[in-house]
Order: sequence, then structure tokens, then C-alpha cells
Amino acid sequence: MAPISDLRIAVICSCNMNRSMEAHHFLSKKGFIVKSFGTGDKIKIPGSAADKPNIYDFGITYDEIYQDLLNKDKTLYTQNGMLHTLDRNKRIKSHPEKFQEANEKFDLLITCEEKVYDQVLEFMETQEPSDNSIAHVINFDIPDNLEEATIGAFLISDLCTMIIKSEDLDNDIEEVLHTFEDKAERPILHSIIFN
Amino acid sequence: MEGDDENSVVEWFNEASSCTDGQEKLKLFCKIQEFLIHRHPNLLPKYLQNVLNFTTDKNQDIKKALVGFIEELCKVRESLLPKVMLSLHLLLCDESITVQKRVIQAAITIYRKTLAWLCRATNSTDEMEAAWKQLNTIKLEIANMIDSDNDGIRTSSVKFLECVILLQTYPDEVDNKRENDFSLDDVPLTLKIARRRKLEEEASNLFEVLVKFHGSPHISSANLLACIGVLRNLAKVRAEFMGRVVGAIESLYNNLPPTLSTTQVNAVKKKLKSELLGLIKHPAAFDYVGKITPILLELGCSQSDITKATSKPEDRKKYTKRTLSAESSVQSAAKKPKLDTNYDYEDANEIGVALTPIETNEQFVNENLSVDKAVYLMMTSIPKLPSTMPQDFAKVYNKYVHSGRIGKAHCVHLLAKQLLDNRLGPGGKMEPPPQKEKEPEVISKKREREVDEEDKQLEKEKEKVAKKEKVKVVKIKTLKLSEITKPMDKETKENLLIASVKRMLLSEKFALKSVYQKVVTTFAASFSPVVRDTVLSHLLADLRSNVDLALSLLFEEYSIMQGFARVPPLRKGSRPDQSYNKLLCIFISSSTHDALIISRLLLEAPLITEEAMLQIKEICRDENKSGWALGLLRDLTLRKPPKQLTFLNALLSYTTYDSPVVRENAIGHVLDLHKRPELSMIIEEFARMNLEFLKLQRPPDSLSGHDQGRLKAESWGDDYIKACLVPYVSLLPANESLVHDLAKIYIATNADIKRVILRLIEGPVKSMGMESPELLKLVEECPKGSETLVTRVIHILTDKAPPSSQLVQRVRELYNTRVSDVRFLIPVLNGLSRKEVISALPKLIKLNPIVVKEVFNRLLGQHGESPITPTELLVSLHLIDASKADLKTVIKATSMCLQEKQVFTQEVLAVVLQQLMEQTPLPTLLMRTVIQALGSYPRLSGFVMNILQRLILKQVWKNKVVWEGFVKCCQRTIPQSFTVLMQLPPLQLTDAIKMSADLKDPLKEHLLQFTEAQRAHIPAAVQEIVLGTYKPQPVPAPLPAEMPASQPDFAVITSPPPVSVAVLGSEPLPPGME
Repeated sequence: MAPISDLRIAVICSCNMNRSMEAHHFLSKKGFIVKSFGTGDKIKIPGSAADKPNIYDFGITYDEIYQDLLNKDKTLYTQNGMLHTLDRNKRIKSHPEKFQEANEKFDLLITCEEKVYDQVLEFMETQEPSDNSIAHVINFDIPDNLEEATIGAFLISDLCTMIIKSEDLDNDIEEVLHTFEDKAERPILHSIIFN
Repeated sequence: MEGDDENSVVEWFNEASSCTDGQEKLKLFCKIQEFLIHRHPNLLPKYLQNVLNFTTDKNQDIKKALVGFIEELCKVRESLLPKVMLSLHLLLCDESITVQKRVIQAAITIYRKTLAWLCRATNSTDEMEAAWKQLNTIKLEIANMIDSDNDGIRTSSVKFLECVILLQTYPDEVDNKRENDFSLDDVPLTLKIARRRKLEEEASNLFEVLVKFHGSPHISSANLLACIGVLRNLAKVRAEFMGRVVGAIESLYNNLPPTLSTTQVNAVKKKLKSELLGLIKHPAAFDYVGKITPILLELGCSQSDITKATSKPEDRKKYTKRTLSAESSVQSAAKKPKLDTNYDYEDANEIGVALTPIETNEQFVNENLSVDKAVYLMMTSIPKLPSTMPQDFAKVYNKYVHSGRIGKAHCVHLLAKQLLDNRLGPGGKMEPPPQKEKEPEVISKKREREVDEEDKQLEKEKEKVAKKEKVKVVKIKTLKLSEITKPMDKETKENLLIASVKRMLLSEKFALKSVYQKVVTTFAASFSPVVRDTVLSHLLADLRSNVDLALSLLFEEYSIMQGFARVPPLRKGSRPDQSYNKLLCIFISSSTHDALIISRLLLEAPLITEEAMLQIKEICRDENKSGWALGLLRDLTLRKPPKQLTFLNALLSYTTYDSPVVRENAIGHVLDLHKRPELSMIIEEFARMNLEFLKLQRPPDSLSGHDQGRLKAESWGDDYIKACLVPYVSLLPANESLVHDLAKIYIATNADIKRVILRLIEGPVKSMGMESPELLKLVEECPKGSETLVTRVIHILTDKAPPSSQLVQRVRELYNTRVSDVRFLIPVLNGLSRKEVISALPKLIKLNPIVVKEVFNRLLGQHGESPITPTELLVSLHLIDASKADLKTVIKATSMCLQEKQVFTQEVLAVVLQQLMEQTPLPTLLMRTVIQALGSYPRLSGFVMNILQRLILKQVWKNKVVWEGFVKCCQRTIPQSFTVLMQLPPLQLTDAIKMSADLKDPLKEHLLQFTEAQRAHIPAAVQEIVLGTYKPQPVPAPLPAEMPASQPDFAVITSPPPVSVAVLGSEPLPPGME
């Protein structure tokens, strides 16, 4: 299927597990060119207690995490939906990707959390621009749980739909965001970077 | 192998040139690019031109790809750069925004590569120079694009400027020099086409542009974010800019563009925070920690964070800045924010930095020192200057002369200091003892001198600033109004609005009329009611001269009402149809006194609303205004066909109005309209309807009430009758056939109404004239019951002119066949034949005296030619048969005639008498008339005597009445009548003497005076009778036999025996008997 727009989109959360993957899933179904990333140092998955998360390094595949959790406590991870999430994830791509290691170019970067937004901007500043094209970084907070991730994915999809309708995004972005902000009813952060 | 590839690339070119599908073409282009750039760069020179031919392609994707190709090309083969510059420039001028943007972005790489290439080159060629020139043009264009309308282009332009500035400045002299950093150091001093000094100057200029852009008050958030990033980057890499950048950021922080939304402000603040935290790490930023810290604290950083981030002393030691250039920029940086910002006293306090008195004063002066004030200060202090410069002043002044530049900041500083020294200004108050005076003008003489010099400097500086400002104005970018405006409070907004509207209204004389009108009307129509009221009151103040404006406003409202124009957003919710109506009514009510204006308004207004109509009607009711107001209604009827009926009906309703003035005016205009065939029917219908009312028992309600100006009545008053009649009757001359209906109505109405009708038709009938076929027809038909009307009509027609033959004919026929009322004839008497007149006379004289008099007037030629001469008339009267008219009537009639002494002059009477006498038998009234004639004209006596004598010959005594008259006449004409008397036969003489005893003695005396000779002529019997000696004797002849018959009567005159008289009468005396 031909993509509905040649806009290159990245959705970024901290672990590339729940929020970014949900949006990735949803957007690719809609026909967007989309990739998903995490910016965190490690992949953290809630464990049996709040202070006992499961921690993995980037590089591990979803399947490996899936197997690991399955072995650890099948009931718990079925109940909290982690297994389901991982199952979905591995159908989309093989493993979580770290944004800072990706070295790819995007036109639109959507982050799900202010900290992630900061990290993206911080990282982009250290990069020497190559073609100097303008990319927009947009953040609105999505709490890290399954339901909110779904709602967030809808919102991201709405936003992307609005954005691709614009013929000249660089010129219209303020207006689009203003409209979107009214609709989403949550604060938005926006910045531009040069690829 | 390579040959095959080359063949395929040629094939691709061919395909691409014939390909119409954009996607397909793009693919081909990518293939070509891949092939030429990466696989066989050696083929590039050969095919470059073919690639560049795509510059003129219509597809913007291809053009973008082409820019990408050029970008790649300059990385691979710098030597080919000169060949692509033109295409690059063309692409930059492309109409597609995305292509332009792509060019700017690519230009960053290309510029860097080109400059490096030039610097590496051992010797520069013409080609290089041309390419560099072209690139410089591109560079300037991109730099100008910082004021583009497009946000993305501005952003890209900012990024490009960053690159240029970085390339064309000297690097910091530190060992942590970034890799791949090209700088001015790399530009060889020997390079002729690009001199270091020029490049640096250019960079410095561009940096100024950037800072200005950064500080522009309406910058968009994306631009601002880009700008902050770029400035931060510049400051980081080129420490010489640190001061300026910190200043600019500080200024920005204090003056965030008002157009930013809350979200955008948050994003910008976040950006500022991270960038400042980044900057403060830099050793060069240490000097500015004092400035940065408060901002960071404000932005939510803790003091410890800041301290942690601040550069370590050992780093600073390592870091040695390029003293000269850095210093100058520090100086300008210190100045810059003060020029750019409106630093607010309160803001400063909010930030929490305690200001020293001197700073406070500086601020105060900075805010208040306008060019006007400076000029004022100069002008007032020039006369006070001493002729030579004082020593101490020279010292202070020299300081600035040497430093070369004096900015506002310096002036401000000095002024502030002087104020403080004198304990003036807000700063002066901060220190005890507080001083009341405030104005900077109150400065000691000596100070003023100094101030003056500074002012001169200040002014120069101001001019400079002004120039800069001007340049900026030209470049100002298009802004969305909603973004850059902040809501004002309602009252201020309205006040400002009203004030500006008022100013605008006053500018009429200077403005282009059409534009002025359009602007004012748009204002009035699309803004709030307050504005509208302002405009309205301006209009109403002098509606006469503003009538054009008023009309154009009406049209504006009308188009809004009709939906031709959009309902102005500010007026949503109001009822536009109402506002048009209201406007029109206001205009009308304020111009009721001005016929000209109101006519213009109404005639040109697109629509007359009902309410407006009511107002017009009200004006029409005013007797003084009804003349033109009703005329206006007429014009409206004619010129506004869609509402023709409304206006016409309004106008018609005034034809029955109470006030005669109004009514007359209305009728006049209606008659005017009646000339138009399309309207005449309606008008006649209306008149007829009103006429029909007369048949009703009582006046209809529609004639009373406010609209008609009269009270309701139960019975027909004159007033009502008139109201119903006037419109119809007035139409008569215009449409004569209407008269028949009038006759029908006439028949059906009561006496009162009839009377009024008869009175009212006079004018119209007169103007219709005798020749009117319809009137003739009416006379001819004369419906039963309408005789009086017809009579009246005939009367009116013949009042001033002799009747036409046609009319006479009609009347005659009528009289002869249907209505034998002689009165019909009176008006046309003059048109009748003599015979007819004479035959009608008996009837005519029977009418009442007034009418008879009128008849005689006519017959006696007072209304023109009469068919009968006065003589004939009088004679005819005498000859009227007693069976047709009794004597008394005839007597009256003749007396009436004889009173007309102008007509019946002596001569006329003589002829009459002559004729009468010739009649046989003698007319009864003959002698009466003779006597009367004699009474009027005594000089006729001679003639009368003659008549009397002739009467004797006619045996006058045979007619008793005439005989009595004869005697009476003789009696009256003593002594002339003696002769006559004595000619009477004796019997008759005796009778006469007997009848009038007065005769005898005078007659006797008369006879006695006779001489003998005279007596001889008188018959003896007569003498005897006169002398009283006459004895009746039997007369043998039959003739004398009569005489004795009268003899016995002689003695008893008083009581003559009737028998004898009868006998006498039967035997006339032979004439000439002696």
C-alpha cells in the first residue's frame, strides 16, 4: 500500500514499548510512514512490585522479553497486559530501538513525555546538521499505561492527519498546533530542529 | 561495461524528458543521480547540463530532487560548482515554497563547500569569481528572505545566516576547536575575490540582522525557536558574540512577543532555559552570569543547578578571548538591549533586582527622553551657553570625543547622574532627603550646557536609529492580525475606536471621495453600535452635505440586509433588516424640513420600508410640507416601480384628506400620474370607490381617523361628501367618460349630496368645455333623475360663452322629446332660433323672477349674441297670448325688461312702440308700456302724441283696457295731449272727460285761450263738450249718432253706464271725422 503522505514520522517514548508502539501500530495501519523509538538508557517493564521492575538493555528483541516474562510469571504478565503488548510489538518490528542510536532523518518527531522531548532536543543539538531540512518536535504527555496509550495513539493519529493536510507545514504548524491543542485539551510543546 | 551504463543513462534522460507521470520521472531522476554522482562521477561533466535542464521542469518534486543533486554534486566535484550556480539561483527564485526552502537548505552546504574550495584553490579563475559573485547574490537574497511571508523560509534563512556567520568569523583561540570547523582563519590572506575583512564585516552585518529579527516583536514561535538555537550556537562557537547573544536573550525574555500563545510561550521559555543552561557552561559566559542567573531563576532553575552549570575557574583561565573584537561587541551588546526594549520600571521590580537610584534615573530618562524633548532641551539652553567652553566641561566632553561613539545609553547615563546629583527624578527620591521637583528641565545652568552637547550627540544617534528603523519597516513581514493583537479592555478599545473614527470623519476634505465614503460606510456598517452612532451623528449634523455618504451607508446596510454582503461578524445576532429600517427612519426624521435632501434620500434609497413610509405620510399631512412631500410620493410612484402601488395608494389616500390644502396638492399630483395609462386605471378605481361611498347610509370608516385627519361621523357632512367627490370630480377633465357614472351616483343620492355635487362639478365641467363629446352624450341621454345635474352642466358650460350648436341641438332634442322643462332651455337660449325663443317665452316668464331676469340677461345679449333683438323680445312679450300666460306675469316680465335701460333706450322703445301700435288687435299692454316709456324718457312725449293720434285713427276706444290706458296717458301728458284729446270724436271725448275729471278744466282753459281762427278748426261738438255746453242731439247720420250716445255719460263721469260704453265700443268712430 502506498503511504498516504511522504511525511516521515517518528513516535518516541522512553522505552519504545507501550506508548510509542501503540502509536506506531495505529499510524502504520492508517498508512503513515512511521518509526518508533525510545530515548531511555534502559528498557524498564513493571514487575511484581513498583520497586522491582524488569530492566533490559536496548538491543534485546521483543520476543526475548516476551519469553523472559513468560517464564517469570505468566499470570501476572498476562493480567497486566504486558504479554499482550509484547506480542503486538513483535508483530510490528523485532526489537525496541533507541532514538539516539538510530541516526535517521524525520520530518516530524512526536514525543510522549516532556523528559523524552528534552532528550530528543538535547540529542539533536549535538548532531551536526547535514541537509538542514526543518523537522518539528512535538510533545504532549501521555501517561504510561495501556488505556492512555490507546487514547494517545488516537490523538497522535489526529495530529498527523491534520498535519498532512497542510501543504506547507513549516508555515502552518502554529495554526495546526493551535487547533490541535484546543481539541486535545492538553498542553503541547513544540520546537524545531535541523536535520 | 561503462559504455552500457552510459547508454542506459542516456536512455533514462530520454525517458524522463518524455515522461508525464511525476512519480515515474522522479524515479528516473533518482537513478540518474545515483549513477552520475556515485557510480560514474567521471561522466558528470558530460551530462551535467542535461541534468540541469530539469531546472525548468514543472514538477516541484523533480526540482527539489535537482537541488539535492546539486548539493551532492558540490560534495563530489567542487570544480563543477560554477556550472550549477545559475540553476541554483533560478531554483531559488522558483515560485514553489518547498523548492525555495530546499534551495536555502542546500545553500548552507553549497556555500560552505564553495568558500572552502575557493580558499584551497591555488589561483582563482574568472569562472570561480563569477560563481562566487552568483553565490553572493544568492546569499543576499536568502538573507532578505528572513522577512519572507513564509514561516518555513524564514526559519531556513535563519539557519543559513548562522552558517554564513560561522564561516566568516574568527574562531575562538581555544584548544577545544571543533572538527570540520571552517572559519576566517582558513581564508588565505592572498585570496583576492573574498577578502577577510569584507567577509567579517558581512558576517557582523548579518549577525545584526539576526539579532534584530530575534528581537522583532511579532516573530512567530517557530522562527523564534530557530533563532534562539542559532544564536546560542553562534555564542557557543564564536565567543565574541556571547555578550550580544546574552543581551538579546535577556531582552527577549523581558519582552516576549505578545502574539505568542500560552503554549508557545511555554515552549519558548523551555527553550530559553535549556539554551541558557547550555550557555552558562561556556567559559566566555562567565562575564554574563549576573545577567543569566536571574532569568534562569525565573525560569525555574535552582541556584545550585546554576552554580553547578557555571564554568569552572580553571576552564576560564584556559580560555582567552580575542580581546579586541570581543570588547567592541561587549560594548554594543550592552547598548543593544536598551535600544531595543521598552524596559519597564515595574517589570524590573518584579524581576526582583533592586535598582540603585542611578539605575532608576537612567530608566526614567531612557523612557522619557524623546527626540522632541531633546530638541526642547537644546533650544532652551543654547542662549545660556557661555562664549567659551569651560575647562571642566571640555574634560568630560573629550572623553566621548576620543571614544568616538556616543549612544543613547551614554546620554542617559550622564543625564541620570546629573539628575541624581540634583536629587531629581525617581532615583532622586529614593535617597533621603526626598525632593519634590521632578522635571528634568529644572537643571542648573551649568548642567544644561553639558546636557546640550549631549543632546546633539543624542540626536545624531537618534537619527541613526531612525534610519535603521526605516529599513526595517520595508522588510516588515505580513502578520496575521489575530496573532499579533492582544485584547484590550472594552472601554479603551471603544474609546480608541471612536476617536479614530472621528478623526477619520474629519478628514473628509483631504480624502479621496470614493475611498472615504467606502471606508466610512464600512466602518458604520460593520462595527459596533457605538461606531455606528458616531458616524451617524456626524452625518446628521449636516445631512445636506453628507447626503452621498448617507446614501452609500444605506446601500451598505441594504446589501447586508439582503444578504449581498456578509453580515459583519461584530453584528451577528442583531437584526440587519431592522438596522436598515432604523437608519432610513433616522435620516428621514432628521431631514423632514429639507425637501431636497429627503427627496434625494428616498428616491435613491434602495428600499423604502414601511416605517419610513409612515414617516413620509406624517410629513404629507403637514399643510406646509404637503406640497413637496406629496410630490415626492408622486416621484416615488414613478421611479420605484416595485412599490408603485404602495406609493400610489398613499398619495391617493391624501386626495380624500381633511385639509383642503393637502387634498388639493394630492389631487394635483394624482392628475399628473393619471396621464400614465398604466396608472390611470388604478386611480380611477380609487376615485370610483370613494364615489360609491356616497350611496352608503353613512360615511365609511376609511374616511375618518388619523390618516384622513377627521373624526368619525354618523351622517354625511359636507366635508365627507366633498372628500368622496373631489378625487372623482377632479378626474373628469382627464377622463370625460367618467361623467356618466357621476350622473348615476347623482341619481342615487340625497339632496344634500346632490347640492354638493352640483357645486363641485363647476370647475371640471368648465374645463371640459362644450365640445366634450361625453358631456354632450350626457345631455343627450340625461338619465332620469339627473335633470338637475344636466341643467347644471349646461349652465356651467354656457356661463361664459355662447352655447355651441351641438349643445343647443342636444338640449333642443331633449326638451322636445323627453323633458319638457323649459329651464333646460335657458342656458342655450342664445343658441335657439328666434322662433323657438318666442315660443318658449310664455313658459319662461312664468319661472321665478330671478330666473326670468337671467333669461332676459341672456336674451338681451349679455352672454353674447342673442337670437332675438331687444325690440323683438319686448314686442313678443306684448304679443303673448293670454291663454299661455296671464297678464300679470307678462306685466312683470315687461317691467323687468324696461328696467334694462341700457338696452331699452329711448330709440329702442320708440321702435317697439311703433311696432306694437301696428299690431292688430292692439296688444293689451300697449298703453301701459307707452306710459312706462314716457315715464322713463319724458322726451318721448312728442312721439307718444303721435302714437296717440294714430291710435285715435285705430279707434282705440274699442279696446277697453287700451282706451283706459289711452286716457291715462293723455292725462299724464297734459298739456300736449290736449291736441290729441280734441281730435277725439265727441262721444269719446265725453267719455274721456268723464273717465278723468282732471281733464276737463285744463282742456276748457286751453280751448278758451284759442283764437277765433284756431277755434274754427275745432269741431263745434268738441268745443261744446269742452265748454260743457254740448247737448246730445239725435244725429241723422249713423256716425254722429254715436256721439249723443255718450252724451248722457258726460254728466255723470264717475259712474258711466256700462251698457252705453259697451255700445259705444261696438261702433268705432270713423277716422278723421270732425
